[in-house]
Amino acid sequence: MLKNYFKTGLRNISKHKLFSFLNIIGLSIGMSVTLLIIVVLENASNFDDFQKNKESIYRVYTEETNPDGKMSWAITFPELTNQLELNESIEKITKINSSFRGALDYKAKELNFNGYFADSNFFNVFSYEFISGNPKTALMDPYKIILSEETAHKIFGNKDPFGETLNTKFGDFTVSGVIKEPDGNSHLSFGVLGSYSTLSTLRNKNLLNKEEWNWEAKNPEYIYLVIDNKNDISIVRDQLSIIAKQIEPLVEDVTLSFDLQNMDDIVLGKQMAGSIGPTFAFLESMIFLSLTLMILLPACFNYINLSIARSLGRGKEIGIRKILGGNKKQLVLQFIIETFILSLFALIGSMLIVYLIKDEFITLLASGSRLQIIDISFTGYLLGILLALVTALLAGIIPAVYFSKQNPLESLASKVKPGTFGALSLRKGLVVIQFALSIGFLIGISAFVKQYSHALNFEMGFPKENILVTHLADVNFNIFNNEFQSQPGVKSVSFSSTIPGSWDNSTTVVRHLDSDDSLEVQEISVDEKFLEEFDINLIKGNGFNSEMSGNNGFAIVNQQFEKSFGRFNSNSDNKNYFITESGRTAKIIGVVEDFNKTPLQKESKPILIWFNPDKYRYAFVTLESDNVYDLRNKLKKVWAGLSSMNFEAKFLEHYLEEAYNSFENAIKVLGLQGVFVMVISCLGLLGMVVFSTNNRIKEIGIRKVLGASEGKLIWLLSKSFLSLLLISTAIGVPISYFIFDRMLSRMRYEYVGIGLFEILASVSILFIAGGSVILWQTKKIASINPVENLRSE
Amino acid sequence: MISLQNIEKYYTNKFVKTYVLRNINLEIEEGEFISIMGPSGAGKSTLLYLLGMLDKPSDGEYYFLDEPVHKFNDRKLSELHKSYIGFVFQQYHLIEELTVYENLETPLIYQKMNSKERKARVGDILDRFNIVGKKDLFPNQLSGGQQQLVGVARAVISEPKLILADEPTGNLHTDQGEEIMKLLKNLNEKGTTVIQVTHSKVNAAYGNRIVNLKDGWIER
Ligand SMILES: Nc1ncnc2c1ncn2[C@@H]1O[C@H](COP(=O)(O)OP(=O)(O)O)[C@@H](O)[C@H]1O
Ligand SMILES: [Mg+2]
Repeated sequence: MLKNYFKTGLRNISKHKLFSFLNIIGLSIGMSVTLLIIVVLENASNFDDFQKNKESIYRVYTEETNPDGKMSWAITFPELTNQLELNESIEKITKINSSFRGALDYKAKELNFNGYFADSNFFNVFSYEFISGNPKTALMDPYKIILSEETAHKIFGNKDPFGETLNTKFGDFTVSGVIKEPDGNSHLSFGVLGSYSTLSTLRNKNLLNKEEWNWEAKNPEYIYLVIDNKNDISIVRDQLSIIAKQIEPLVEDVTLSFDLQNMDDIVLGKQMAGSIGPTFAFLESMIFLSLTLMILLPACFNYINLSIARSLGRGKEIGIRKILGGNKKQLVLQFIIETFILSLFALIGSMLIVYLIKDEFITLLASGSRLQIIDISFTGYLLGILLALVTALLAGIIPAVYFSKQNPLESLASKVKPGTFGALSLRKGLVVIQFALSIGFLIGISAFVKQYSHALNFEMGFPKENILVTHLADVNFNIFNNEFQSQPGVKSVSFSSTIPGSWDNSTTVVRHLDSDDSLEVQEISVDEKFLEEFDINLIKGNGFNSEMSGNNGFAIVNQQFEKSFGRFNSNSDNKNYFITESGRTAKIIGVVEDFNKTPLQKESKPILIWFNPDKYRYAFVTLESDNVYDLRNKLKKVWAGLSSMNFEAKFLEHYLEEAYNSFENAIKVLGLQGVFVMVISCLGLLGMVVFSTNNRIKEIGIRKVLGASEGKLIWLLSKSFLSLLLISTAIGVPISYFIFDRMLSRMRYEYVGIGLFEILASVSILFIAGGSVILWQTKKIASINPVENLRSE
Repeated sequence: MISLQNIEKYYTNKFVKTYVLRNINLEIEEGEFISIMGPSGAGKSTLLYLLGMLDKPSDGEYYFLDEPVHKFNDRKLSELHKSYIGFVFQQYHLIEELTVYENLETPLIYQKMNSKERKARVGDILDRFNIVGKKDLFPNQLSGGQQQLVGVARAVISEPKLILADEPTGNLHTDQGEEIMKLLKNLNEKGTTVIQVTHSKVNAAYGNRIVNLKDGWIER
């Protein structure tokens, strides 16, 4: 019996080519998105699999209740460990602080690094393999550092780094080990590990914020526990809630509580502030999953729609089958199988699509982290087939029941019109939903594009044009200055540690000499010409002069710094002095106007400006405005005389564009999905227009003979479809405006809002796409020679 | 075999009852060959479908092999219909997507017959009807007469006790029609009860009894 169904199914698919084509394409696209989710989930769920203790590792996290609501934080207090250590249910405890980053200096080499301070229990809890060093003692003493294989190789090449000294802003560290890169993805990703005891030393020396249980500082501290016995988890939870009641978080109106999270849930679980490593952020809010449905469902709608539209042709077959003794169950099964075959074809199509876009897509989602992307596994394929089955059920069940309910005598007499009221309004409803979704995506995309372009044109507080930025690499800045400054066409040259307006920021904490109040500020090191080149005006005091070069006793700050820092109590003698977390004391000699050192922030951050040539990493070359690209090529030759490295020079604008990658990613993801939904919707519309205009060929022929013009006929055929588009717009615009408006206004950027232009543009695109589908088909019908029309009956 | 008592059939449309069959009383014995005749719109097809259990009477009693059909639910009707009745139509009504072989096989599939037995049955019927050479062709590759031949073959393949034929020769040339009529006669002689609707006196003569319908009434 099944064989017979499969055979009929295949024949039906090959016989009704347009129907099958529209559906296979539509379902392929719809399923590809679901398949992508499977791939993403597979990629996300293999995180930390190499950890031998994975199942029994738990992270302590913090729930903050404030007047605005609740919030989960991955960070917590290191002080918790003191009490947790007494709990016998806990096998092992380790703490991590993720603030260990900055630049590593080794002899003349400098390398940016990202890592953690970790205590000596780290390797008891987590499974890493040592190439050199002793896991038991490597993180015991202060100022020890463990390098990942990759980091070690970058600095030391093939030399064994054990025992070498590396300089960081936290002090000098001795290399106590090198570990292998883990085999697989991990939420912990680090180039180096510093000994946690270093932090305690720094705190004791008063170089770091010392206050205990200070939630305001939001120190990036993480605690991991190993609990072997699952029954003991509640004991630990109880203990945590008792501790929570005893502590004072030092922030008004905030209460805190603590909870445990299994390692399995870290990457895929709920989204938390202060996360360490990548999180598949979209998954948490289910937004992404619902987006998937928003694409798979329209594809299923198409199927339902087109199947019912085709019911006139199929009615006869169903009728005969019923008369030959087929019961409802058998007929429903037949249709589901037919849909399933179609879905299998679509599955192949969707695998092709997934294969093409998989890597890029996953990288977009897990933004900012390096991922080893795995291929679709066997389970993945099985899930894919299951997906085809589910799709078949989703898409097939309505037409199947619809068909099986038809009266066989009526279907044989062709009395069932595809336009029976219920079916027709169902089909119209489906098309409306599809296009309402399309308009939603269009508005979403245009809103993001607007936000993006606003970001790019944002008034940064400094000029962006004609400034060529280059990494200094191994070139001494003095030599660079001499060589480049003298080139014709070069206006000025200056240097700094970071590029203003990029995310690439290093921060420090400063306080007065005679006060405990501290302020987190962004640091930048510049030369004496920098402020002038970037047109940043001095408001008070003095700028740097060349004698101050390398003197860390002097600093310039921005207005925001002055404002925030000035609020703290201080003896007037010490008012212009501050001390940093690494213990450096300096005097503020000048105040400059605010400029955006990081992109598009709603308000300016306090900025601390040093004059420290040791930190210079970038050169800024301002060019005369003509022929900047020719000039760039000339400068490339100059560079070739200085260094064997590539001349990696970009205009400042390009660097700034890179800073808005997250927008670009959102635009890409939404754009891809938007294109998918639009294509599916247009396919569905095309199918609907084709099937219903074909039923009117005779009528159109008669009208034509009676003298109707082609234009009138096109209008007659098109207007009901156009009104569907209108209804979609009326439903889709307000809903999507509401959704995206709320979504964008919650982001940390300055929000520009969705304007009339974006809405009109989206609506126009919808009407152009939908309208041309309608026009294409109706024009075809309206231009058929009426004599042929009438004969075709 | 069949007993119709006071059968009425009407359609309700905007509170107006339109009668199609009026007070039908009809007894049919096993082995009869009945011809239903009458003008277009008289209700002949409706009567045939009622007999075939594809439609239900609005009123009256219908006994088939002494079973009260008018009291049965859809599922029981479908079971009864499936195992005892074969249909032949004026428009043949073969399934376009299936070959001759598969068309013949379909009723057996719905009766959940196993594939070995199905093969034997279909082979047998192809032989009997002399259409072995056509078994892999699709309906649109056959002439009208050949299609109706398949139609009859499909109706008898499940060895029904009753064959209902609605103007089986209506779309055929005279000689093709004659072939089909002979076939039905032949089946009847072997014991199958046949009820046909026809407009042709010649064809009606193949039967042993004529039932005349006019405006829904049986004319005596
Ligand atoms: N579903 C229906 N609804 C209303 N009237 C019907 C329906 N089916 C048949 N009729 C009417 O019943 C009458 C008899 O139809 P039918 O049995 O097909 O006649 P015949 O086969 O004798 O030509 C016709 O007038 C037809 O219009
Ligand atoms: Mg009739």
